[in-house]
Amino acid sequence: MRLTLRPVELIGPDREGRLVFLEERLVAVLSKLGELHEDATGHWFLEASFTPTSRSGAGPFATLEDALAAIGTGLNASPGIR
Amino acid sequence: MPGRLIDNLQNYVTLSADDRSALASLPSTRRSFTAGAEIVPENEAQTHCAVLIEGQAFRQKALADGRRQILSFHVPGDILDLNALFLTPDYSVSALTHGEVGLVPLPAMRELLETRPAIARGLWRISLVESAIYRAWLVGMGRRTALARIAHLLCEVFLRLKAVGLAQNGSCRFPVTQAHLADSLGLSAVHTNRVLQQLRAQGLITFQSGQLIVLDWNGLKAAGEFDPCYLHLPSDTA
Repeated sequence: MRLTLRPVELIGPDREGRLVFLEERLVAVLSKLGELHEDATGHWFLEASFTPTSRSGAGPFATLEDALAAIGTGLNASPGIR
Repeated sequence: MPGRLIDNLQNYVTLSADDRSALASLPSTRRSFTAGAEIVPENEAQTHCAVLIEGQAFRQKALADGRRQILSFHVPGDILDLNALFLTPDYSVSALTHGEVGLVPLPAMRELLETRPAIARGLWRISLVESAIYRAWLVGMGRRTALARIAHLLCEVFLRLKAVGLAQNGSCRFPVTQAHLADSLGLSAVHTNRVLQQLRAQGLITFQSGQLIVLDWNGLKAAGEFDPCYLHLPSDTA
């Protein structure tokens, strides 16, 4: 499954974000955590997800790859959604 | 049995001198605990009832994947495992700070309930107030914004600590981590962190070395839509 990313700026203290797409459809929104989050600075946080089986607010994930893997797992667990 | 339980009961019922004497002569063993220690295990039939004498604790439930839901916070005078009187507790109790419990053998507690109706009524009322607190938490987790949930909880904790003499000049010891708050309110730690920053930026509260400092009590209450009635505290507290 190919998930693609589009950079986006978020409102709030954690500014850098990514929209996650499956083909042309939005699947999730990730944010990169800023210094407010101390040990989790630089980690990726799942802000919103359109798959019913993944929990919004999952993570933080140390890498973008880890975050995408979790999103992929959520999609695979929701076969009806596509 | 130290005065904490007597003081707690007297918030809800009038106790006679005989009642107080019966409570004071309950057999009990004092046990210290450290912050983070488990005080009462989940799903184990208890032989004793644990009364919090000093320190703070919380009830929690563990999920299969290792996450937890914190169910309530407790202050001195609370019976940590009120369920144990009649049922196996469906939660565990852990220490937020170091402190002490008084362990009272269940047969002695039950005999007290049989022979002292005012004490039985007081414990029943305490149980009803616990339920009211759970309902307030339910409403918060179901329908309030993250900011309102946190503000509401901080108001509740502050007033309950004030009622037992542990809050002065707008400040109380409440050494919770963001993880504790997140696990209490159905929020992620990330979201909790952002909301705490927002509460600080609005000049409502600050945390310093485990102390909760309420800078704007009316503002905090408004942010949490907090009405203390459900706590049924003595009228001079709220």
